[in-house]
Amino acid sequence: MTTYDNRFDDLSRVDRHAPDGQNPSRPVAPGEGLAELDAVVGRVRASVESVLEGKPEAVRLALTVLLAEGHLLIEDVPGVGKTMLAKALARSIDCTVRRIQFTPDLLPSDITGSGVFDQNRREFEFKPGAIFAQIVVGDEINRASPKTQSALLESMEERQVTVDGVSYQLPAPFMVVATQNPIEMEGTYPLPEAQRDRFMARISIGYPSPEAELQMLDVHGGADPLAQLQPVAHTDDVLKLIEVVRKVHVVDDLRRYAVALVSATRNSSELRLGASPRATLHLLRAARAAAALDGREYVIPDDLQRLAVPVLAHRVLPTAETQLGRRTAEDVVRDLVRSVPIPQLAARGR
Amino acid sequence: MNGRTRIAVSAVTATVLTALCLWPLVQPSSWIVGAAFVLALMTAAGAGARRLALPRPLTVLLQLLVGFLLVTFFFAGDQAWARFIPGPQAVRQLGTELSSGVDDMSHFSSPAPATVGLRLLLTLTVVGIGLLVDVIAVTYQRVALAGLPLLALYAVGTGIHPSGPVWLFFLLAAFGYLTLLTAEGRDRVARWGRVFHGNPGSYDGTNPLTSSALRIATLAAIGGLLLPVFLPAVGTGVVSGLGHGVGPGDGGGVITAVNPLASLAQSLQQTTPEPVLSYTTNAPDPGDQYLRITDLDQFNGVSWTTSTHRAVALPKALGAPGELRSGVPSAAVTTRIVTQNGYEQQWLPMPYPAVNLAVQGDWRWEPEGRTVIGADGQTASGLVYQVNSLALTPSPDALRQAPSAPADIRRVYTALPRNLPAVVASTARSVTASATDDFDRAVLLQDWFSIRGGFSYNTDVPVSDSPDALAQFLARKQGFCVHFASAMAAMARSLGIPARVVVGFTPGTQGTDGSWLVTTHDAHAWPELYFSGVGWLRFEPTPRQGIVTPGYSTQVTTPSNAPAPTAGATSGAQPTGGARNQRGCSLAARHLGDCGPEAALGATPPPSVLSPSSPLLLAAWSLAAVLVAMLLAPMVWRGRTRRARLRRGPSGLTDQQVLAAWREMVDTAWDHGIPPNEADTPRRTAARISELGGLGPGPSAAAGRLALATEQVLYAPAVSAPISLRQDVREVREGLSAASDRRTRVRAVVLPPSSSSLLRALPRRVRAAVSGWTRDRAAALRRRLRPRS
Repeated sequence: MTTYDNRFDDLSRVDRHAPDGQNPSRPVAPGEGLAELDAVVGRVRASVESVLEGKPEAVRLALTVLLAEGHLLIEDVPGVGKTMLAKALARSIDCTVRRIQFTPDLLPSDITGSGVFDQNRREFEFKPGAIFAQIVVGDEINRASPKTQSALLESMEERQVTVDGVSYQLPAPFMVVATQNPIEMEGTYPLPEAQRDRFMARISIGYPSPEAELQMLDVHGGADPLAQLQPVAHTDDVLKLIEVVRKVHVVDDLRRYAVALVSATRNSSELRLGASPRATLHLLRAARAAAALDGREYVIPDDLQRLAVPVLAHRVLPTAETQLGRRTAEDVVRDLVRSVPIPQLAARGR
Repeated sequence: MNGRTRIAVSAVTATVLTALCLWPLVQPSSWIVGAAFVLALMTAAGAGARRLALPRPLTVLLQLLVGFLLVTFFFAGDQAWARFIPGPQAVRQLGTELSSGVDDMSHFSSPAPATVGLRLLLTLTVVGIGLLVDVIAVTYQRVALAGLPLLALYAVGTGIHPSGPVWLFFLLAAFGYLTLLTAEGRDRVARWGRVFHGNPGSYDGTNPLTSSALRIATLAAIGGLLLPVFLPAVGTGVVSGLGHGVGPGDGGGVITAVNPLASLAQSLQQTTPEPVLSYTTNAPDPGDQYLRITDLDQFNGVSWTTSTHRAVALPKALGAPGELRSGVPSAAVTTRIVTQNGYEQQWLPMPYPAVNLAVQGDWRWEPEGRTVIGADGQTASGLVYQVNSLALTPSPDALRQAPSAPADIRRVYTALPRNLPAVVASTARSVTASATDDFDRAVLLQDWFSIRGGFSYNTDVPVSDSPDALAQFLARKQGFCVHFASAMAAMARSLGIPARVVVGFTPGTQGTDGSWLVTTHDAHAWPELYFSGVGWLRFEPTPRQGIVTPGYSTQVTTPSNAPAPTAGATSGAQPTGGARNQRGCSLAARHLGDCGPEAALGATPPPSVLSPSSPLLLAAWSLAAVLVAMLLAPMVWRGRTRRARLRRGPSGLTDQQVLAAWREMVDTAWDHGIPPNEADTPRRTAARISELGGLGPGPSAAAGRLALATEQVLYAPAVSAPISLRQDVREVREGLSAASDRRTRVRAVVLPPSSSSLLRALPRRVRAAVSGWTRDRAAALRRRLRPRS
């Protein structure tokens, strides 16, 4: 017998047991589909921005991560709309969505699922956990114990869950949108480095401008705007867009630039831990998505520079001196971006 | 104010504070203000050049140029073009002022009147030191080392004039240097990061770092001031000058008590002679009568000095020398001497040997050297006195047969230091090998120096302090009377002949009224050798034009006493002594039949070092030409680069042309004060140029188009054909130029900062060229070495 646990609220509006037609792997030529991408993304963006006013940059980054097949970590103080952004994004896309409220007593099996003994058939049956959805909203992820947080490791990177020696594939697209409070807040466990490294980008929303806050009072005053959100894009659309993003052109010089940026974090005297090679991969994927979002079929250094802070800052650890100097990891990465020369321009420039 | 500017300002402050030690040298001292002004402008020029990121040597050259222009403006403005640009006339005037300044330096004792020449000299000194400090401390960022030129300035300033509040000057100089160190320290500490206590970023002295630095500095300064008092070997240090000003009263030009030989050299190097005394005499051969001042009997291998003889009260009659035998032919001579006012000499110039002296004042008699010394500050200034002396004409034969000198004379006057180079004695022996007696040896030595040895007279050779100075002189064979006298005396001693060096004057020039005029140029040194039965006899080894070897020494060797060649040896200073010919030919010169064209040549003023045809000026002009060429090079190079970059291609726009146009725009922005940043993307660069350059919408859009085209060329898989980029570049340039001020516009054309990339690329190009060349060579060599099959 199962009791309804509202921590695992099913937010999807489609039958989640029928994720058919997952891979429309029709080859896409570079540049093709940018117009379609623009249209779809425009709709999603408008839908999300209708509930989260005045934060176009945060929305854009969230969409970038979605199209780059990454996971998103939203970190900010309570009450600025972290969950709102995650939910709005999930609802705007017509896919299976699960929301997990991370609490200190949450167990790993709650996330991954577990084998349950079926009395009738006299065998263990796998009962999928909350992770089995296309968009998983992990709310306040740092309130769960590190043990539970770690349950996400395999699913986030390998897009599969292994329980009792059996691996279960997760549906595609698969995206974890986690929110967390800054670790200085009470009752939180900091995410392990390995876990942080699996998030493609970390964004913070920040307080809205007075005008946006005023408008929010109007919109949110009457009813829950989330409830009125209708899906504006289908899973297939998203998969198609992901395919478009993969075809975005990156010249060798920019690959080298991405490597230079990431290795600069490893060589910086202000950082105790630099970013991993996975970070380089994520940076380039995110840059492709950002270029596609801009309607460009090729990546420019501006994409990498703009994404360096969200993609790299949460993976690096500043030294004690840096922290004493009241400089954050963001500051350090920002300075590195300002100092690493762009290969081609530097070589041909003078 | 950033760190470097602060260091630059401190450098000027330190130099000016240290230069205050020159304050008592000249009255009034307002020249310091002018020097400080020139220095400040030079420093500002340096700061500007550094801001433009000019290469360091160019910065220094620019500062030199600014300094030169300003000095021209102040000291030769009326002769210069546009009061600043020095032409030949202005340079000549500067040269004249400079040499008159050098002259004044030796004429006047401090405080000297502030003549133009002295002011120029002092300004050049201070400005030169200031430039050095600036170059070391700011341009090359070696702040601690900049203390050395400051120390030199302080040492020279207080060394010339050791009286006055030396302790104050020391403290001022120390304060200046500490200011400089502090500026650098602040700069360095600021680079450590934020200070975590108190008010961050403030250095108000409450900061423990600052206060301990202050404590150390204060202790060091006080220690430097007081420690010498307690150290027995160092003397009293700078504190001795406290309160009362008792200096030896260095009178400058003429020979004084401090170091007769050194001031003798100074006298001879003066360009214009200063009268010292005049006299009338009834000597049979006045050209042979030298005036002695003092004798130097102690030789330590480096220099000759006076030992402390016992001076006695001036006797009524001095009497003939005790060692003079009665049989020596002699004539009584009466000489009446009038000394100039300002001739602050402790000794009384007299012919030798004086037997009677009639003089006013407090004088003492020193019987051994037969000199007369003033007591209690008595000097020979403005005196009239009469001396009765003997003109000795001993026969060479008598001298040859003279017995050896008494033991006490030999003990004192043949003493030589142990470390005297062996070459002195060996040379003396080889030169005099043919002689059989002391007198012949002496004459051979004299003739070797003056005639046969190939020595030449040159007052530019310094009086060296090094122990092997004598050996050097014997090797180089150039010097003036001090060297010759010292060398001959030392060599005579090495041969066992008692010898000493005497300082005094040659006879001088006879005027139309029959009186003789002695000037600073007649200052002279000669050796005296002792022969029993006669006493001390003068010898003359110096091969100077118009100098007379004594009669008794000329009858042994060939009678030709023609002066040894001096041509080419007296480039800087005029030949002195009898050749100086103001009121006719000197007797000494006549004596030698030497009043021909050469003497007349000596009468013409010496060519100024900075005359228009002189090599120095030529060098200065070619330096200026090189400088101008270097200054113009950036402009020319920039123009050429621009044309090359914007050249129209055969058809359409190639990628290279797009990139060239982009580089052209970036460099144009750099020329207008927006330096490039290698970490900026094309878009950001365009945005930055638009923002910082204050571009209007049109040029901004043009910059954006250029950025997008560049971006496509660099990053896109396929390039869509862009529009005319040359027009865009021009538009951006016009926009930048319209938005910037006049100064920036002029600089963008005349001294474009982007041209510094030319210099930065230079080492790379040279390396590439060299490695290419060596590769070719190596390949050729390999080809040649390959065995032919």
